[in-house]
Amino acid sequence: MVKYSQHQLDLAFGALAHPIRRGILARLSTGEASVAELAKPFKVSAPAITKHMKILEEAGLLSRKKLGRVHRCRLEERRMKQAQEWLAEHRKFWNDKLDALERYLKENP
Amino acid sequence: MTAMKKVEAASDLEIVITRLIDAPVARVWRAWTDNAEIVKWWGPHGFADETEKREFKPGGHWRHTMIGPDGTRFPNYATYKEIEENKRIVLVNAGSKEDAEKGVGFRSEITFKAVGNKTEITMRSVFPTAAMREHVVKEFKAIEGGHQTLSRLAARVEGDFVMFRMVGAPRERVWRAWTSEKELGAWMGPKGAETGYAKLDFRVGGSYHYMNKYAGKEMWGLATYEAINKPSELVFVQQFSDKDRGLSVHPLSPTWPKRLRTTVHLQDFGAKTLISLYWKPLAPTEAEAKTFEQAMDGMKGGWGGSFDRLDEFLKGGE
Repeated sequence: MVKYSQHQLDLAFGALAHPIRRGILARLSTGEASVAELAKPFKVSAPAITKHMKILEEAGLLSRKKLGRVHRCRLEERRMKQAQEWLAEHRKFWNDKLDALERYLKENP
Repeated sequence: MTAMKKVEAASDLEIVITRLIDAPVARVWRAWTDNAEIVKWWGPHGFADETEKREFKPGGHWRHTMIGPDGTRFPNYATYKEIEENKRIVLVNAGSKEDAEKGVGFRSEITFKAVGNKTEITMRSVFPTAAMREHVVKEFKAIEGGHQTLSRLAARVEGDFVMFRMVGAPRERVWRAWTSEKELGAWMGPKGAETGYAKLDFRVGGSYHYMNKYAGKEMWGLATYEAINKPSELVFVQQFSDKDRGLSVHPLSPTWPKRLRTTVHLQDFGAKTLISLYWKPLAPTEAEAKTFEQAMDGMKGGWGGSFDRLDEFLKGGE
């Protein structure tokens, strides 16, 4: 099991709580993109998109690097995975227990 | 599960089931009227619902099949007669369109009543004959099933975690696995952990105090029994603990709810047993409630859709 920093998780879940930010991450899951490409599907202003990207960056879910004059954005998979693992560990608690109970009953009828 | 519930055998023709639900009327109404929501909780424990079409308006129909935990399919055809927002729903239930057209069926009225910030829900079904009422009570276990349905509804709107599992052992055997010190220790501990200590005092107010050694670390837990109804129901409150039975927090997530009530319901299916499990944070702080909600609900429901692709991607990248 991994020890998660509560602060990091709060940032990550806060960032994930907005549909536009989830849309940005979903797009990045298919590969790197420029800011303009990311903004395209959403009918919001450029400053609004920039604000969403900042929140994703602070949560460590997105990173940017400059290539010439264009910013390329990519998904920070490691942080995304951490958040998902944390959720999954709790959610599968009873699932794992009942798996164990079933195995036990099979071996000890 | 300990919430108020009662059956009135007011007449030979009626079945009346009520429950006080800890959520405002508008939330309960939405669970009942939203097509995507009702199929997630409709039906007794372990049931699934396949809806072909549902038109929630007076004169509209709900054509659906309820699938029991053993796979038995129960076709249903309901016709909505009256709908009063946040107040009541009147409908006629039949097995099929043909039956509905012939007038074979029974009438149900569901009423929603605000009790402070909670909702009292009443399901009243009236049958044309006492024999028909008797039939659905005996054959379809309509009273128990009605309570189970409202209990799933309550769990959904109150934000509890619910899980159903059919296991291949008779109920008495499953009960023993949940209630004997030796057996609990054999399956309850985390995978790869060694049970270092286990003491069961099996009575209401008694407890199961245990310690697991996991990767060289001691993890203590304490479960206190609130209700024991052999062989069908077990209610206990779980908490992280220490060797002196104190209250502790989750070692990996400090805002995990400090106390969780688990209700285990065992239903007899001959050589098999249906386990229904409810998990509810007890008097959670705001942060604890949020943590529980995120963990249980985070990736489904509101977060669905755009995330499926992301999920696949992350799995592929292992």
